[in-house]
Amino acid sequence: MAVAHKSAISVGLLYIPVGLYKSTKEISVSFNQLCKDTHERVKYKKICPSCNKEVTNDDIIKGYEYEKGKYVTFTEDELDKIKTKKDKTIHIEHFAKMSDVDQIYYEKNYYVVPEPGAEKAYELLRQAMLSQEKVGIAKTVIGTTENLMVLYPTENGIIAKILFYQSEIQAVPVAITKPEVSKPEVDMAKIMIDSMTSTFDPAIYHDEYQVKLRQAIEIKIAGKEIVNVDNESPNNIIDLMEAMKKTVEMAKGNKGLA
Amino acid sequence: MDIFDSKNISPMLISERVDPYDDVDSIFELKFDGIRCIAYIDNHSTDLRNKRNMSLLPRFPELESLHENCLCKCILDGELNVLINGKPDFYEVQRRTVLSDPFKIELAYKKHPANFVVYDIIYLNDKLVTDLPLIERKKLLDEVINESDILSKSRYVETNGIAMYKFAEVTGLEGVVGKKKQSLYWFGKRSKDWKKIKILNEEDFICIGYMFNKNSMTTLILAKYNDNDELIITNHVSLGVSISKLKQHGMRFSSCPIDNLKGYADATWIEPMVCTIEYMPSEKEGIRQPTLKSVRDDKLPEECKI
Repeated sequence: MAVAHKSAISVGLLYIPVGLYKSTKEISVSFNQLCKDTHERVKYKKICPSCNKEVTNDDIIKGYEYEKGKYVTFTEDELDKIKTKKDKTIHIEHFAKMSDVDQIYYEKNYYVVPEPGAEKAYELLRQAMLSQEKVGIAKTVIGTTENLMVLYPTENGIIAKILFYQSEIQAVPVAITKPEVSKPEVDMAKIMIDSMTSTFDPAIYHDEYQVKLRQAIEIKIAGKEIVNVDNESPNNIIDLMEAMKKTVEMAKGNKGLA
Repeated sequence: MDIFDSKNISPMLISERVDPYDDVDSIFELKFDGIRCIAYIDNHSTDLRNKRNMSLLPRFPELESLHENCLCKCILDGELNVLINGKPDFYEVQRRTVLSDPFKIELAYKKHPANFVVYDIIYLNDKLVTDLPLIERKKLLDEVINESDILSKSRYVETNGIAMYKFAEVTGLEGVVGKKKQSLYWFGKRSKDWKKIKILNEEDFICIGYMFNKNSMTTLILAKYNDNDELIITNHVSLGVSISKLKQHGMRFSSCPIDNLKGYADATWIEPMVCTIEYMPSEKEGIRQPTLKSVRDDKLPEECKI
């Protein structure tokens, strides 16, 4: 697994070089778009409808449509000037109680792994946060985006949870009313929940469509590869090594005769 | 912390490449073109780490069950390889190490599953065995490993390195490794007790210039003449290169001998010199792991043709 972001946690006098690694992977099968007749990959061309010619990246600038059909434009240089200075360090601004951070802010997770030599400082921070049930509220720049994150201690290590900014969170579209419910009704609902409660095992759930899609692809590949590209050489490393032993023994025997 | 738990072993390394030899004090085994790995195995789990201590099981899940073929808790040293047409194929291994799509990985191992060939044992039943001579460690492997499609012991012969080299050459394998029977296991050490005998090809090229790349290595720009007597850049070589080697053979600066060349703004151009390059034979790319062997004064650049 390649490191997604090489960085360092900076907090007080501690400076802990770390790498962030993705905690999830893409498992969906992705298709390419092909021309029906030739099976060539379809290409995209960017066309300007006014000049009716293909435009290259050099011919493209960015525009913001502030009113229908009216744009203010920016060059890459102008945008670069505004961009955040690339501070890849993870600055812990303060610590907070774990329960302070509402789950709705969690966007995605990274594993935080210490670089060689930084294991001890890392462990120190992890243990201290875990025993106090605190998380570190931190800021860093990944790529060109400024990220807000919490450093979250677990039994095995620290997880960086990227947070949504408050301005990204939407309000509930329709206010949910809370009608009166009676105690017997609540009790009945509780009994239902109790009777349906079991330990959550994530391993038993799969994306069924992906499973079927893979099976279908494998069947098609098998159909295409009726003629195996391998020649008849045995694909067994033990056979190869035994052949070596036999050959060397024979060579030795011949030498003895000569 | 126990070495089994800290899992940061650097394997013992080979110090030098030599010509084929026989030696009564040595054993010889085949060099397999794959990835050197350390396997940490206990009753119910396997972990496989490369020389940079990255776990390889996410890339090679077909090797997750190696422990089912081992009789005790142990740390093994060996080579992960993939056979294609009966021979270890480094390109397939390399392709696998960059595959991350689990479905593509599954398709790959169903077609060409990886296997692990063990040549050494480092740890057995909670104890290091690195102080035992190699030949004793080899005997331990017989007690630990129950061979299968994915796990095997590296076969070795005594004394006859040259005969084995010939087998490797005819069969198209990477080479042979000779190891002293009495050699102990030293972590991370380049030991003279272990030597590699690689099967290499040689070819002459015209060196027309050099450049310094980012990691401050010097790269030679190699060219040959085509049928119309035009110089064509064919390769680069960095291993074994030093400017002093060229100076010893009277290197003189010149201008770029090829018109309208792009991508070589940083290059220093010299008068053409003939160089011999050593490389591993390869069916897929022209030359693999090229190394500068020598500069030839006895051959004219014009004789180096594509």
